[in-house]
Amino acid sequence: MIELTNVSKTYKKRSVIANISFTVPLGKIIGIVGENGSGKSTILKMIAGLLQPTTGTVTVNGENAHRRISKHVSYLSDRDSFYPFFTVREAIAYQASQFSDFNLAKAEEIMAYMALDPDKKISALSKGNRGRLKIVLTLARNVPYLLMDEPLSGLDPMVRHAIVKGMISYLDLETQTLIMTSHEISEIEPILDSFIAIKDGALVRKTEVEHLHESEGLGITDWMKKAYLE
Amino acid sequence: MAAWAASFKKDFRLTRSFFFVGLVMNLMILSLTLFITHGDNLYPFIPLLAVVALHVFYLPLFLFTSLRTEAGHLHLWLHNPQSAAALLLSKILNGLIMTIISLIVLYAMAGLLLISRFHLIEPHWTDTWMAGWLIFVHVILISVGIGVWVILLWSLYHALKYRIGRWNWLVILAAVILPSWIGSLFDSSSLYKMLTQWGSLEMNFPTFSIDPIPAYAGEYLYHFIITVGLFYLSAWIMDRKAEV
Repeated sequence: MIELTNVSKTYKKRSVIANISFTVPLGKIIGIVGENGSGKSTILKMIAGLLQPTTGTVTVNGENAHRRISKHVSYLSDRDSFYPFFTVREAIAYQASQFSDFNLAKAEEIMAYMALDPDKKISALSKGNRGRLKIVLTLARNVPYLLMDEPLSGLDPMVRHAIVKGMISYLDLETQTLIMTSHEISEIEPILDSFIAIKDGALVRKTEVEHLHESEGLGITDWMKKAYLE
Repeated sequence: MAAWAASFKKDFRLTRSFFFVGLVMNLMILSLTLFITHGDNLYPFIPLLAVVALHVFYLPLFLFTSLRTEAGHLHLWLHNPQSAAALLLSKILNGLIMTIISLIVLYAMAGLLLISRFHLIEPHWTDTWMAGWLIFVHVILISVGIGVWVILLWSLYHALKYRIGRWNWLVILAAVILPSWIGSLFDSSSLYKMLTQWGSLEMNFPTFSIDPIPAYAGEYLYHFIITVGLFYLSAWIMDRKAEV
């Protein structure tokens, strides 16, 4: 289980996350939604142990999250960065060498699904294909928690739906949880079990998507328009 | 071990241009030396010796270059189950191998220049040979010592960049000046002498007209412990405090 307890994060003097607490169990697909700069990426980085909370605690399976929590967590950054000298195949082999839980066969399968050329240099890939490669590298790990920060960014609208569908099929929802942020909320909403809404670093709502549909008759985007703008 | 070996190969590819540029610079310095020096004298060795001495900065510069490249996509490097010590050792070993190869190339160049001038140093050959080895070893030792400081300051910077903001560089500066000042005070104390001045390794060069150079095994051990301590402190900061 991922557990955030009274977590705040301040960059220099600017508060980015303000006293947030929530837990995430295994076997769920959870979306973190909010405006630009609301703190979504910061939350994912704290769970990945790549940022430290200013106050409060972040634990993954009971262990304080520091960078070596990567043994339990697979993290996809919103930044478009790779070692550019690798080919797609070399990037996958490097990831496999670093993470003992990396499933090479699964990576090959996802790579084929994503229509990536294994011999192409990363520096020669389009932004969309680099985005696909990030998904391959993250999704092919057999870890309990996968964190994806804007995984659909840079992908053509025509293929987003297929890629989201693919992402689901490669997840093992009995043993894995996927937490993702995305601005393409309508694309990811059908696959989400629940969502966490953040505004100005504070937790606005954490609920089941189905519950939102049933109780308020709204989708996430419509609810956000109501809750954030009114 | 396979994970570390893959990191090692990746680190080499990340910084190989640094290595090849260094080798080309060595060749350029040799060419320049041959171009500007003439006659049967030892002047061509002066620039080569200067470049050998400058190799104390080779590993620190290499580490700075490598770490600065990683800083451009820090999550890629730090989102990794290997310990920071292992990740850093991969870089240090890459840099050390490159330093040693670069020094060997320079020494080989010096050897080639020496063939026709051997008669000039023949009476001092044993001492020259010994001095050459000692310079080689000490350049590497000093280089590692400074390199570990580069790593420490880099990890401190990445641990503090979101906490302190614009005063970050002041803290980094203080992290250099304060320990250096305390270190120099300690080095001149009688406690330091008592702790380190054992196991004399005095270096004698009878055919050079210079006094014997005092050295102690205790001093080497002291600096080794300090270097290892600073390395593990840097690794701890990277594992627990550095932020992306």
